[in-house]
Amino acid sequence: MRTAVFLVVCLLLSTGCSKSPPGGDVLFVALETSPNRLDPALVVDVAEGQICSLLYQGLVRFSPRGEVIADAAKSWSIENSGTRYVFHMDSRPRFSDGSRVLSRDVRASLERVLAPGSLSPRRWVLDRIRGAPAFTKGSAESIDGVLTPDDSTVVIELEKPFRPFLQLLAMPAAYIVRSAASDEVGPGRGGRGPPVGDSRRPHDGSGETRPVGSGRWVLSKWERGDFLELVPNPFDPRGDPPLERIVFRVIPEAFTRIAEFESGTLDILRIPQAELGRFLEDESRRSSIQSQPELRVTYIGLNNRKGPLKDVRVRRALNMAVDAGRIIEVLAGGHAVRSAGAVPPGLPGYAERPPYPYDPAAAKNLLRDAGFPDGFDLEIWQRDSPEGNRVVEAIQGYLLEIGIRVRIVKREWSAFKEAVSRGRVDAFFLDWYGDYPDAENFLYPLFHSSNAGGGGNRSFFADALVDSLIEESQRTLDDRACAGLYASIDSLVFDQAPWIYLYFPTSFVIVSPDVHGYTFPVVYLGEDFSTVSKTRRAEGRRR
Amino acid sequence: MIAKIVRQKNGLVGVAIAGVVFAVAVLAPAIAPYDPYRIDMAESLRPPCLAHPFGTDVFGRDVMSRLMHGARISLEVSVLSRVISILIGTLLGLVAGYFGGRIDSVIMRSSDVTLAYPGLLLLVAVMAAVGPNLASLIVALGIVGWAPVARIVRAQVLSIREREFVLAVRSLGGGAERIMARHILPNCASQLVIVFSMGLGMGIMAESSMSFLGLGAQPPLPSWGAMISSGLDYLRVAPWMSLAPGLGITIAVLGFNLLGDACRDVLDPKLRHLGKGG
Amino acid sequence: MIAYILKRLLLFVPILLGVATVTFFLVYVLPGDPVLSMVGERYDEATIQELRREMRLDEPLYVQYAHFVAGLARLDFGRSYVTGEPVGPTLLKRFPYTLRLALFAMVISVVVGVCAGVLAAWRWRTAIDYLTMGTTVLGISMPVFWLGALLIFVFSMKLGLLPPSGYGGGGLRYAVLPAVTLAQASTAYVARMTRSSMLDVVGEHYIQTARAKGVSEWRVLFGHALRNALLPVITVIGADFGSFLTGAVLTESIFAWPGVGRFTLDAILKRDVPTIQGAVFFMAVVFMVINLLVDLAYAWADPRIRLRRESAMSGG
Repeated sequence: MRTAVFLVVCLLLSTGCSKSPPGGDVLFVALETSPNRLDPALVVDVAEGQICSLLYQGLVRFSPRGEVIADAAKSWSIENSGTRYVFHMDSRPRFSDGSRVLSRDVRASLERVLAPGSLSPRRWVLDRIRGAPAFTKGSAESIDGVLTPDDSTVVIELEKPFRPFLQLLAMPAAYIVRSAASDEVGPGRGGRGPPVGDSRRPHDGSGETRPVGSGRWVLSKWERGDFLELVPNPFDPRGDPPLERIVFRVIPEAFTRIAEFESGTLDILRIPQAELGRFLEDESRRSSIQSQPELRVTYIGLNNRKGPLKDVRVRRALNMAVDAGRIIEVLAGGHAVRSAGAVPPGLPGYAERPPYPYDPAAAKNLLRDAGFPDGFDLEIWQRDSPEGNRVVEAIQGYLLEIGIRVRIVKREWSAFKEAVSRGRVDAFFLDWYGDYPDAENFLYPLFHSSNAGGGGNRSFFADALVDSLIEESQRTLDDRACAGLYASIDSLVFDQAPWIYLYFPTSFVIVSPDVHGYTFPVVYLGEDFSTVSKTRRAEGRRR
Repeated sequence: MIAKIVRQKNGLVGVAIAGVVFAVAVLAPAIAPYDPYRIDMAESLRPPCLAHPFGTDVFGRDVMSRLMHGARISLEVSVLSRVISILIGTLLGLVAGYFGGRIDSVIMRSSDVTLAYPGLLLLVAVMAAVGPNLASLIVALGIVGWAPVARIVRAQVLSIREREFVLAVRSLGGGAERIMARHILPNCASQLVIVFSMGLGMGIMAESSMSFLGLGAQPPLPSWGAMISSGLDYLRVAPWMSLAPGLGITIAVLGFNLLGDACRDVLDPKLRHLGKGG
Repeated sequence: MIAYILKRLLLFVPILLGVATVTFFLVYVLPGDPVLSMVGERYDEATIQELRREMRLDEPLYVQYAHFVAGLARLDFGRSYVTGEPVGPTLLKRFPYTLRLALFAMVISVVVGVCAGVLAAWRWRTAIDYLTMGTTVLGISMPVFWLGALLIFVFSMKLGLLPPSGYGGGGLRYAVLPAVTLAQASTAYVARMTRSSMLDVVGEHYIQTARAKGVSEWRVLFGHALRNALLPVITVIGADFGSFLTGAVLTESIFAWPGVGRFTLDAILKRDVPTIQGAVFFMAVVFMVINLLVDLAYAWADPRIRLRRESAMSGG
């Protein structure tokens, strides 16, 4: 019996070979969720988008500072008062199989997203191209507004001018994939590109589940749920980046990520909210911490069509009953900007205006005026998340003080989305991530009446003046005029209090002192790790 | 019987602890120093001190008061769900044992299916399907726990069914229900008491596990399991948020386990070799 | 013997079918539209309808059930709604993690539990006995997730000796805390069982004989007494192993251990129907197989049971 025990223990020890902390030029980055698919036409979340931005190129891309810079296209011009974009492609980029990136690949990539039967959830990114709706419906053979006069020129024409269009082209849905058959090609018809299904079906006959890209990096290993390993694209004309490999490890639990960072097996860490105080107070770490106000607004959406919430006085009362400033202080360590609008700081159109004051007495008065002296019952829906749980529970406490009895309903994402988008819910805790750094990406989907429900306007806010102003801003090409317009729209909306306004989160990232050249990007798609290097680690645990 | 239980060493401790828990649960609204629901962000994360013996949580709520109210939730869920389990299990066990044959088969196979479900998963799936809240949890726990009860009752029924006095009543023309109710059921009583008491500890554990996973008591209810889960993120800076409710669960379960053991020892010593309850 | 095994195996089928059916209807009732999980923040009806047709969600219930049962027979659970990967192979890939943890936990619970039980029996009714038994009752009463948090707090945060969670690429240090946590209740039961079993055995004649013959106390305990006392303990160990393999949900959650339990919990929370069905089915199979093996081992080890097997079988 003793021998048996001994053998089992030996077995366990042998299978558990401990990996020594790695040195050298391998960067370890954490992903908070596990990517499910890496087809740029299908990706919907941050982790997937981030990986795709490394594996693929677009005509343009985001810089770490959030500007649109050249990628597969080396230059472009905007003509016809914003309805015509002419891109001149850079002849140097190569797909990871060595072939050149040509205009037909661009066309094929756009077509596969918009094709009838494409399962892409991001069709809206390319919908404004002239002829896109007809193509999607199947009544046109190709997209009218996409022209490829020669191998290195792409012309995209829009139905109407849309100022942020260039930024849309920096999004994953517009990334360039290699078209399927390079032989079946002719101008105007073009290979359709690998069919977009979900990642269940192999795409290009090689058994891989994603199309070929021309990004700086290539996927060399993918253990789903565990990690992804990227190596440099051998055909990239700019030569090898300083890093040999990047390993993205899937670690959903916050305290595991922290432990891994502290023991040296993780190089870049986005500091979880609950630990912010501890990290920021540590003098020795200050220099390794970077912060960025996120392109994100966190709020409690109120269903403007339902019950007591139809009355603007009630909505304003709710805003005044919640001490958002205190919530920020206690729950986020003060590291968030109190929001008095939907446009985040840093974007043109952001303006500082006085938020709704914390005044429970005044709130109660408003409620009484609106006919609810004894308060009422309210359901707040949320997805389950540690940050969300705390914020909503605090709000529940505050609202109780003015007589509003809140019931918190937690649902997973799809159930939540469905109920909220159909307008069946009183109130919900949500945040809105900007896909591109332009206020239009906040104001239009969130407050334009045409987007009521699934389009993003989940509070069913509808105001004719606001609608027309938003539309005008989409046409306005002058940046400064636009910024003024955005600020006015934001003010108008804020005054109507369609939400309980909470905050704009700030994100903090701590980078290992061995890592150099990493910039915490404004848009998560903006850091391509091509300038990041890592020096060999000294021994010993990092504190 | 109570005297016998108390005379046992484990019974004494068990009754004492269970009694305290029970008392705290019942008296909580009266003896808790603070309102367990009132938030006060200015008092967030205070360490244990005179004003707050167990500190405060991230919203400034007094942990000790929440602990006391949490006892109510735990007891409510475990007692009620046990009662439901026993009602359903007894009914089905009686029917299975008495009528035998096809009915018995069906019921026994159903219990096999229920028992084949790995661990907590059935409960998790049911709560996810129905929507987590305390009432659903009580019902779900009650339903899921019917199988062991039914088996025990059935075994009892089988052993009693052929006894002389039962045969006598049957030959006199007594109806099935009467026999079951008047004669068989009372003989099961001691078994039922054992099952009930041994399951209470488990019920408290199940409720806290489900609330820990977010599938039981919903905020702002101060369920012990939910308190532990929300305290985990603050383990480093405010360990009392998680440690105090954990202590509560441990003590309560300990007390009820001891009580259950003592009941079993007194009522049916033959079962002593059964390590597990319910 | 063979007949018995066959009979038990035959019973597997209706039970498994029952488990699978219950799961099927439970997940059917789950709120939440899996199609919506697959699309992003802004979506349109057309995409939704297409996806729904793809996944056969627009067909009537009985048709879906028929597809389901047909798939079961082929052991094909379809593809995950979340990752698109086939469920079966994914489960098999996660299983070794759970297995590893389960083995480790079992070693701990057997070694520690048996030693503690023997110790308590040997020093019956002394302080050591009460202390040991007191600790075991504590072990049974402590919630698993609390012990886990406690261990993380002490050994990881305060002392910095062990990592708080995660698999960490296979290092043994990562497995220590989760295995100890998982083994908690089991160790307690094993200890109690061993103690009472030893107490029964120690009074037997052959023990007195051995003592009289001058055999050292050590050999008496571990050589003779233990071997016979271990019999009932086997059932406990076996049942616990079964529950390690299938019920490690809480431990795997708190330690971010990439095993089957946590995988299933995530699937339930994400409404990933095919994965839920596959995982529950898989675990039920494992559980029943372990039970069968335990019964067989018990029957084989104890000749008295072997002979009584006939009457036991008909009792079902």
